[in-house]
Amino acid sequence: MNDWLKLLPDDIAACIQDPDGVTEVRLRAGKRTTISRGSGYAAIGRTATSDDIASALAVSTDRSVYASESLLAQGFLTYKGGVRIGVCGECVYKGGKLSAYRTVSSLCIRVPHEIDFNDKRVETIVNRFENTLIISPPGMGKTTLLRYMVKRLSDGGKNVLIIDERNEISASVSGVPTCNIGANSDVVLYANKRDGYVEAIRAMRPDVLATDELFGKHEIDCIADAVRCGVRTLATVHSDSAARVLADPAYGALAAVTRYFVLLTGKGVIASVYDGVKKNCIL
Amino acid sequence: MYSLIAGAALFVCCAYIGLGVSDWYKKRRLFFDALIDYLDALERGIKYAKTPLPKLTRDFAADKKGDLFVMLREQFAEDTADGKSKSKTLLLTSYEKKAVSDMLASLGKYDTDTQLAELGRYRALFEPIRAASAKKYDTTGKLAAKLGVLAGIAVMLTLA
Repeated sequence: MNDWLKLLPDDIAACIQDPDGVTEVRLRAGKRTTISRGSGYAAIGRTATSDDIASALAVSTDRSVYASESLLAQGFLTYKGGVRIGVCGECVYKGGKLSAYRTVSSLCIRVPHEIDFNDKRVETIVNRFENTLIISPPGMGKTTLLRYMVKRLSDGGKNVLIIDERNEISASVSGVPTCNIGANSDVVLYANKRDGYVEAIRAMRPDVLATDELFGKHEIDCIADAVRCGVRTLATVHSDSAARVLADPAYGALAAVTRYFVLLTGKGVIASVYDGVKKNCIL
Repeated sequence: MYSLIAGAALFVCCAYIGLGVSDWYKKRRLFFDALIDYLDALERGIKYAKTPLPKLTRDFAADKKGDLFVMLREQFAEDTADGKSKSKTLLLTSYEKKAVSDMLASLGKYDTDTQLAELGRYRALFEPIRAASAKKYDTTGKLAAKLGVLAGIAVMLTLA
């Protein structure tokens, strides 16, 4: 519980009252640490140093930052319990590719909270599961809803294959998920979506394929391919409206195979669920 | 009779002092040998396999060279809450102690290139100390052992 506090220097961690409610912590070298409990930020403790940030990175990587270089090059790390750590700093390029961060100057530690989406519309989708797309702007709980639905589907007896490109859905440590993803889930970690789909669909014969944050045409094509293989899909995408997704030609292949569009507008707040077949919103 | 007993006691004392001095030099040499071996293991593990630090260290410790960590514990015992009474002979100068401490603190905090550069920097620092401590043991350390024993024999013979 609240393992993420270990990422912070002891004196700064001690300044956080009621850590259960914290959703985000920002450590910036030379600036005061700020925390958020869902809306707005409050400064706490002393000014953070670059050494505090280096120590946080060391803790999150089991004192082996070099071993997590490939993740770091993508701008993030993960920690126990699904904690996501966004990093920012001095980039190192090798062969024209971003290969590492030499000096990390800022960390954005995002602490997930399990939300019980006690919503009739979600129950409807889970009970009659068809291809579903969760849509929301960043930070509204897409991954949390995805994980909740994965858990429900998995516990309901469906074999769910999770392509967890960033280890955000399962938050696995040494291959063991630290988030509740249900009894019948399998996780492909750190694979890009194409490799994950091709290899795992063939090998694992899933009923449902779940993945987070589709980005770019090639990832959308992957989903369409998976549907062609007879697998149901559950995915998320960044946008602020279902209409925008449906109207965007880049999402054409995705819209064509998706039945339910779930739109989140507030932290864990489901604004609407659109049925792409019946062309109406589920009430 | 008494002079024989006194001679034997003085022999033991002289030999003990001589061997003690020799042992100090020997331990110091062993410490820096093990430290350089640890740096070798770290460089290999990080450069070629990016093995996580806990595993690298566990493997190193399991390979008999775990003596390094026993010695480190002894050297840094006075810095721990309950360690003051357990602290044994200090092998390191305060400068060396700080360098070892900084080296250990730097582990696992950087990307591969920076981490290897840091290890290289500490290797450049510790290699000459290791060479000097090996030389000191071969000369002063072994001489102290011989002198101690010889002095003991001389005292015993004189008293006899």
